[in-house]
Amino acid sequence: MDRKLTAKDLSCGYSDKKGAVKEILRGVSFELESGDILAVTGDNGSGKSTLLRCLSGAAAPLSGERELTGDGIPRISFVAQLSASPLPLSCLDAVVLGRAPFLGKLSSPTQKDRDLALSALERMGIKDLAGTACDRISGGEYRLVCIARALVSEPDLVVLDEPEASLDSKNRRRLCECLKELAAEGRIIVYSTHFAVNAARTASKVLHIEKGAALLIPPERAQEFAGDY
Amino acid sequence: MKKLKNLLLVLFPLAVGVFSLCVGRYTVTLSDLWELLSGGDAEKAVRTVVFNIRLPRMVLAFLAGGGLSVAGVSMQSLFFNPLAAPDTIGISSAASFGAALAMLMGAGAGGVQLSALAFGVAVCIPVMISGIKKRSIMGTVLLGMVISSVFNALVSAVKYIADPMDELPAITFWLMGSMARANVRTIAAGAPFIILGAGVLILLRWRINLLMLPDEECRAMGERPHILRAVVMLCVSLVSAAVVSMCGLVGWVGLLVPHMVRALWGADNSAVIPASLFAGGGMMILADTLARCLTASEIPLSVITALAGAPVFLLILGKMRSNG
Repeated sequence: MDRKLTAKDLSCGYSDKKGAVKEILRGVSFELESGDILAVTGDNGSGKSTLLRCLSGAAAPLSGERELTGDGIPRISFVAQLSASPLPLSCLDAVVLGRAPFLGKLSSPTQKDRDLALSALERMGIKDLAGTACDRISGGEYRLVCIARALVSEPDLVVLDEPEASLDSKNRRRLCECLKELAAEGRIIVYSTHFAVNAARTASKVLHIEKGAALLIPPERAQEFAGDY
Repeated sequence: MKKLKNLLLVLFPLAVGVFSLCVGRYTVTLSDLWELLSGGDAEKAVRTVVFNIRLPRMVLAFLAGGGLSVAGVSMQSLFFNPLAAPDTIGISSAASFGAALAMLMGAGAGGVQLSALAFGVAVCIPVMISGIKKRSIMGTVLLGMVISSVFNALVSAVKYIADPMDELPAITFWLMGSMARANVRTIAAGAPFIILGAGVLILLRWRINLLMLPDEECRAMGERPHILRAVVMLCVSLVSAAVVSMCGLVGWVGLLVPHMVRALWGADNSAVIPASLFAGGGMMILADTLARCLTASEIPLSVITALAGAPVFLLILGKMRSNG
C-alpha cells in the first residue's frame, strides 16, 4: 500500500460564523510516504493540535492543499488529546469502536472484530484490562486504549495528538516501538510531542512549529529546536 | 448466565403483563384468562375487562415504558451525561402544551392527542437543525432548556386561563400521566411513532456508542457524528411526543431504567438499548397496575414513578459512589 500525504502551503486556523478568520499556522508544506513518521514539536498553543486536526480531515484548512493519495479509499485514525472523560465502556468495547468503518450502518461487531480489538490491546500490553471499564483504569492506560482503538481501524494514516502525555517512561518506549512497527507495516504516522528526545529516536522527519510557521528539521536537531537538553 | 439473564428479562414484562391482566377491582383468575386467550367460552365480563380495559392499558404501558427507556439510554449516550433523559431537549414540554391548548379549546380525545403529537414533532425540527448546524452538544442542550422553559410557561398560562371547575382539573390530571385513556384508537395513532423511533434506535444501538467518542475521532474514521446525533434526536422526539400524546407526562422512567439496566448489562449500548425496552416496558406495566389497584381511585402515574424512582435512583447513586 503506497500512500503519500502531501501538505502544500497549508494554512490552518478557525473562522467564526461572521467570517472572521483566525490563522494559527501558515505555509506548512511537506510530503510523507508510507513508512514515514512525522513528529510535530512546538510549545503549548503553537498550533500542533490545529495542524493535526487539519491533517486528519477533522477540520478543513483555511487555504492550501492536504492530500492523501494512493490506491483505494484511504483510512485515517485520529487519537485526540486526553481531555475528555473516559468512556464508560469496557476497554475491549472501547477498542472495538475503531472497527466502525468496516461495519454496516446497522451492524454490530462480529467475533472477528472483537479478536482484532483484543490483539490491539495485546500489542499495547494491556490485554488483561480487556474486561475492565475505561473509567476504572489510569489515565496512562486509557491513553493506550485510545491508541489501540486507532490501530484496529487498519489505518493508512495514523494521527496522534500528544500520545505520550500521561505515559510513564516504560510505556513511552513501548509506544515509540509500536509507532515504528506501524510505520514498518507501510502506514504514515503523524504525531505531536513535547518529548524531543523520543522524537529524535522515533521520527523520520520532525516539523517544528514556532510563531505560526512550521519548519521541517532533521530529527537529530529536534532537541535543539525544542530547547530540550 | 448471560442467556438466563436475557431470558428473565424477556419474561419480566410477560409476567407482570399477566399479573396486570388479572388484578384489579374485578379479579380475573388465571384459568379465566387462559380460557379467554385460548379462544374458549369466557364470561362476557371477563372478555370486556381484559380486551377493552386492561389489555390496551398493558400494551400502551409497555410501549410507553419501553420507548421512554430506549430514548433515555440514547440521550445519555448522545450527551455523554448520565442525567440526560428523553425530555432534555424540551419535546415533552412542547407536547404537553399542545395537549393543554387542545383541552382549553374543547377538543376531543383525538384532537388532544393530535395536537400534542404535532407540537412535539414540530419542536424537534429546530433542535435537529441546531444539532446539525452548530455541531455542538452544549448548544443543543441549552436550546432544549429554552424550549422546555418557554413551553412550561405556556402550559402555566393555559392553566391560568382554564376554567377551574372543568378544564383545569382535566389538564392537571392529564399532565400527571395516566394509561386510563388507552384504547385501540389512541394506541393506533401513537404507537407507530414509538415503534418507528425506538425501532431505529434499536437498529443503531451499537453505532450510538460512537457518539461518546470525541467528534474529531469520529470524523477521521469517516463517520458523520452530527448526522447520527440528529437521527437519534429525531427518534427520541418521535417517542417522547407520542408517549405524551397518549398518556401525558411520565417522569423518571427514561432516566432511571437505563441506570438499572446498566448495573446488570454493562454500558455497551448493543446490550443496554434492547434490554431497556423490556425492563422499561415491564416497569411501566407494573407502575400502571399499582396506579389503578393501590387505592379506590386511580393514582396519577407520575406520582407512582417518582415515589418509586427517587429512592431507587438514590440507591444507584450510592452504589456508583461506593464503586468509584
